[in-house]
Amino acid sequence: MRFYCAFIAHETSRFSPIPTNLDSYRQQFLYMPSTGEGEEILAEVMGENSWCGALRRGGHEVVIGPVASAKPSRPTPRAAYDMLKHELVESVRKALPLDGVTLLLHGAQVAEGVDDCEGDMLAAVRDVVGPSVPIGVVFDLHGNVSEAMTANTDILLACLEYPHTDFDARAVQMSELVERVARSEISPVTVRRRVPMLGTYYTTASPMREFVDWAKSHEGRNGVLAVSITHGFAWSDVADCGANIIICADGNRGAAEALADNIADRYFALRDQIRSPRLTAEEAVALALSHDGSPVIIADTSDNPGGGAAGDSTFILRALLDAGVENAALGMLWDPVAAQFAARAGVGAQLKLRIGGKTGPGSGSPLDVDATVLSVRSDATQNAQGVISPLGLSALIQVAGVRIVINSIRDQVFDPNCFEAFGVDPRTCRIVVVKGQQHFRETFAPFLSRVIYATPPGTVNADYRSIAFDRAPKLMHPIINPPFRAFGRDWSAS
Amino acid sequence: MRLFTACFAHESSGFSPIPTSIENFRSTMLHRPSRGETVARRHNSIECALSAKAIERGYDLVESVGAVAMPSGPMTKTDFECIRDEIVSDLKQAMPVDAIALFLHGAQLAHGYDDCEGDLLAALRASAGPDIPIGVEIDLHGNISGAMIENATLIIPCKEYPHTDFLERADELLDILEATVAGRVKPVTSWRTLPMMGIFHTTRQPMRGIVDKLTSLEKQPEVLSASIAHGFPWADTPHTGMSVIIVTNNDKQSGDTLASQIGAELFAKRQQITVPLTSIDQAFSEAAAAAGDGPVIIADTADNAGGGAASDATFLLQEMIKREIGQAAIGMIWDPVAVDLAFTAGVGARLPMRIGGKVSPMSGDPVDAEVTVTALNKKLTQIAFGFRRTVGRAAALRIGGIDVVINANREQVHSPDCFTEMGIDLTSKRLVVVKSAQHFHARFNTLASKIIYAVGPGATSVDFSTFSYERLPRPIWPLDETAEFTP
Repeated sequence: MRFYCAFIAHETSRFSPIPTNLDSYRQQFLYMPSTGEGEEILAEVMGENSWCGALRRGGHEVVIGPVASAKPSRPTPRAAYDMLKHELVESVRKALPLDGVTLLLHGAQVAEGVDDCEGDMLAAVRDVVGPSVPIGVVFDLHGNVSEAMTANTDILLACLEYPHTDFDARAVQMSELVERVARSEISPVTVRRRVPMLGTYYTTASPMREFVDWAKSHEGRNGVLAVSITHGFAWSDVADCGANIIICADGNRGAAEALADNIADRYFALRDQIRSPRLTAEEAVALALSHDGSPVIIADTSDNPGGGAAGDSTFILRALLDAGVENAALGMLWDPVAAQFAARAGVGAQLKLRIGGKTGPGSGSPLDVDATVLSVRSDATQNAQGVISPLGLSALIQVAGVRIVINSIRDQVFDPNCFEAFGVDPRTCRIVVVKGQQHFRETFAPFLSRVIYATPPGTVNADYRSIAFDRAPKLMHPIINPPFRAFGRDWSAS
Repeated sequence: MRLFTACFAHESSGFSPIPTSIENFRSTMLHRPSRGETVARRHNSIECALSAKAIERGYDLVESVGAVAMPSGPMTKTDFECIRDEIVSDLKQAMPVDAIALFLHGAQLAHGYDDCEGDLLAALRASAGPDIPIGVEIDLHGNISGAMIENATLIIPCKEYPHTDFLERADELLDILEATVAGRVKPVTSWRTLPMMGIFHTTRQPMRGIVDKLTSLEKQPEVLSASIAHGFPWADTPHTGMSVIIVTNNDKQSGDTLASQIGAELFAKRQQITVPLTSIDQAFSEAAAAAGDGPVIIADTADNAGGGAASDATFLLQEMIKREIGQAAIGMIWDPVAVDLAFTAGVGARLPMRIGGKVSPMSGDPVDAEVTVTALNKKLTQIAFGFRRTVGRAAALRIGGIDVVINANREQVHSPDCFTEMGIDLTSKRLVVVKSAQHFHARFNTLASKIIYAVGPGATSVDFSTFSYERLPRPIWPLDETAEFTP
């Protein structure tokens, strides 16, 4: 059979200080089928480990459409989005006849004038392929799900894990289901239940862990093809923001609806147990110091470049210095100016540096410090979930008891090599602060003693009551507490 | 005539927050002929004028290093030694030569070296021997040391601030070297140091008159060259300060007398020739009260990239926003981060942006504002010292009624192109703030209704009491009222 595969993903934050354009995609990856631009990235992104590889191994013919991903940032300008969408739609048209369409999308992509990019793109693809060609989509659990997304797909499922360790497996699960639809083995129905919650829920912690396992255990039973628990992405600030339960089932809509209601009720009931506590920078540092064991990882969740933040905020660094913490490391502080200064001053130099606080109020005030340059590198990289990503001109500086990795290419910490490349062994530190929310956890897990998720002020601050939402629904936990009525039903406090 | 030339020029500020390595030179000009490395060499630049003129004159030219960097902090020790040794080694290779002509700054520092020019000249003198004339053209903001006087045959600083006369000085230097080699003259230097430091505009009286007097002295047959080195106050060295240099044709006595006379006049008129301290608040009040055709120009003298400041201070921009000043422009604020974000956002984009305040307490607090990107320019140029120079990537942002030009390569404002090439019409403005101490004057003078020199906090503040000096020759005016000059 002949399948179409494409990948368009951008997690969009309307509160990010970082603008987006087509070059932002080029910096991550961008393949345009009409021109062949970026062809060299296909082997890595759409290769053997991807669902495309699985389809090829199944003996199928695979047609690759546009492949585009940018780091989280502000909405994509309309012209750039229209160009991506045009690449998608025209490459689908050119690929006809097809037995199925398989797409990897984010779910939280916003363009100027288009709040629901995924729904918009899927409607356009459906228009081209007609009602009988199955369309399957795998997306990020931080995606916001729209009516247009469920209406224009046959198979819709999200990754279940945060960190997203199961993305490849879920993509393969999606493409296998599309293949079964194409063979007329199954007749899928999709049921979606909105859950009025805004939050990020770590699937590494109880009781979220057990909840996900329980929900997933329904797959393969009673015609249930896939269960998805989405968290949503509040900072997109669109009408579809929030959590969802999505059930893909083989026929029997009634049973799927009952299951969706059941899982949604449980999800909502767990709301206070699965959300992480709010912790200021000072509280997080104090908690880390009170912990017996090392290293303690403090995640600066509010300044996660992976959520559209600049990665240059100073709140936790200030708290570490104020507390006089010894043997701490912090990375990566995005500051191309300070990185260049440190590089030019040279290893061993002692100098006054102003660090961080470069891009907006979410960055906090810059810090003026007396620094010693310990290491300078322009060739350091990290493994970002399989993609080798350069850090740009980077330096390690020592400020009092804190060693700080300053980088030039904005990125969250995925890999301990962000520290090791500069001679810092995070295993031997008392406290390691990482700019990131959760993805670091996969690689730090083997040696960390404890993770503390800090929620200081910042661009992806999870203090939902304080965020100036324009379009996101307000009848949501934890903006308000139940009982309240939302999405056509009552939500009780119990 | 076989002439050896080199250019190694860096105005180094002991108070600059900007570190300096050979990389800083790579982003301005670095020409290393013995290594076959040339980065952004500018044939049509002041710094290469000696070589260019030598070619015009048909000399047998041996050109060594050409290295220029924007003013910033002291250079790293190893990088300074590397370039110094390269020039000396090039000279050894080139020997025998008839004469040596150098373009240096006069206020260069490196870690471990508070007199880079003196050190370089001593090394060249040692290699060249006592008889080969070494002529040095420098910036009038040089601090002259005994080692420089001792090892150079003659030193000619430019006379004008803004420095509009570098080319004429280059010609004079070559004329005197040629006459020396031919045995027609024997240059002898008379040098008087003055216990004073500051910034002195040659565009205003009575300094204008003193400079004109130097030019007329040069008409006397025994005077080969008469100059004032204003000095560079942001270098904490034992030879920081003003000095007078008179080069005569073997007439030391006349030279000494003239040096004393000029020195006495400068010291007596120190209050009148120095830049007045106008606070930011006072500057805006004066600007508001000014009436006349064309914009009022306020120079942000304390944040002059041309003196080693970061050029990212926000004190004046904050004041403009606070006072809700319209029909205004300010430039150039050095902010490579904001320039990148503006380029990504594109012309017409409206977004929240943090501007300036990037590198030190002297930068002030960054300004958070909702901006509209009105222009982007990948290759902004301006006219500096008579030559069109590339500034590089720049963006124009509008905040209310204020047009803000931000740039990615730190550079002071020399000409109105910094605004007009960004689509900003200065004739329609009531107020224009420029980050520059004085060089802007050469090309803004004709369009300004009034020029005000504001002194805020910053690395190039003329309020010297804000810096902690340890090695200055004391007493020195204006820090010490007890300073005296005896002719």
